[in-house]
Amino acid sequence: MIFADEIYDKVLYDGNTHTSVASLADDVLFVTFNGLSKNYRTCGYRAGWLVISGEKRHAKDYIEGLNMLASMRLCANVPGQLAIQTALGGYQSIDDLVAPTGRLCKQRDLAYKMLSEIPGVSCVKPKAGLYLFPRLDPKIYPIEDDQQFILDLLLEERVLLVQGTGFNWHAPDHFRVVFLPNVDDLTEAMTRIARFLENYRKQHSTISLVSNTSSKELAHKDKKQNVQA
Amino acid sequence: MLEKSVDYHGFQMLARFNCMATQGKIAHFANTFILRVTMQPLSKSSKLNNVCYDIRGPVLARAKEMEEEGQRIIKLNIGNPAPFGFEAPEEILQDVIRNMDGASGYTDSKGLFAARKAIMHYTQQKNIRGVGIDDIIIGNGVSELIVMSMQALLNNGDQVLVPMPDYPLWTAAVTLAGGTARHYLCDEQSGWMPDLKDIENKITANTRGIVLINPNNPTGALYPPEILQGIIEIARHHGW
Repeated sequence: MIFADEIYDKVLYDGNTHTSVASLADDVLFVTFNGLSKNYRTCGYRAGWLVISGEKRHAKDYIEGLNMLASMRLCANVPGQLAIQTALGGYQSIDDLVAPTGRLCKQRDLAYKMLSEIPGVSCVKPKAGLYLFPRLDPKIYPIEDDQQFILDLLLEERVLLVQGTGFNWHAPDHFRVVFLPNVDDLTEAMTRIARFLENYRKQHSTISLVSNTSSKELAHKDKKQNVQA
Repeated sequence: MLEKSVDYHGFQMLARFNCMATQGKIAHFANTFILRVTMQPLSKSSKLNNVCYDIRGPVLARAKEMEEEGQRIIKLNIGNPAPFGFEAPEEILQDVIRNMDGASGYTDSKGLFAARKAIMHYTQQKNIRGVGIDDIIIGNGVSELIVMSMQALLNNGDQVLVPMPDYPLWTAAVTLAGGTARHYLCDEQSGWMPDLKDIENKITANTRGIVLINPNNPTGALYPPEILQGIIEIARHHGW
């Protein structure tokens, strides 16, 4: 069976559209998860849902188990449920936030640009959601313990991030950035991250950086090697 | 007497307790009791041994201490829109307030009919076919339902394919339910797309299903229909 977590399905940039995996087949069992937290900025309401679809005949017992667990906690909080019908119908204000002139899109663009300009940092530009997951070139940032690295950033620059291994990533070479702060606060945060990384490079880098360009080239080469490996 | 174990002298202590209570000396006795008896260490359940959720982990604990000391921290650690000036749409807020009078009783365990009907219509907009009211369960956020969906499915030793990187609640929920998360690679070189070959390689006789996070947290990837079809094909082939 396929479990599809689609909680960010309306937080889409650059005119992208979302396809629910459950819309593509009827002969596989799907459990699709969604809710109001991100699309409607009401994560404190704790209003989410799951939808069972596709081939269900063989899964009666599992569905009975789900219903039993739902019954054991009686019901979801009712005030949160009251928000669902209004949220899903009518005007969708999230569309304004993710438009090119919207706050979320502008913040994504800014965070992506500022992070990508840091030597040894590369990042896939997000098509959706509220996060960036940049890579730190291990030659320039030879990190052994990324939780310690994130703690050092907190202590030195008072910026709180989450390390890549916190997302079960297998190497200590990524971190996650939330781009929710407004442009001014985000600029300040990115400036602090860049300053921390500059100090880190001076202390730890195993190669000398001649310029920004050369580091990008090195990062690129390093990626190629990874692919071959 | 109190310096010895409670179990051994339990009966005598109870007798003395009753006696002292009648003499108004209970508070003094309670103090003595707390000071002298050695408590057994209270450990968390071994079911939690490999459960990990670092988004609210030890670094956050340090950040809280720093805030208590008066430092201002820029928190880019959690996807919580409200503190950054993203308010709930006014219409939603008004409708919750307007209907609050009727919110003091339990609903059906799957949720309010009107809310589930709206969700059902949303699945129709998303071209998910054949969804009825009873196929929908409303929860206290998706988080509760993720845990519930794994608790209902997994026996000890069962495996679930979970993306790497993932939103770590998925791995934690699989582990808590007695299962093992087998992490399949999402490839940064291809814009963080799920690596279908790696998925195939990690399938065993104990695999019960696969988790897709789309759009993805933490990578921001959005999966095109071809990738989704590839995953459906794998699920179909293995009869999940």
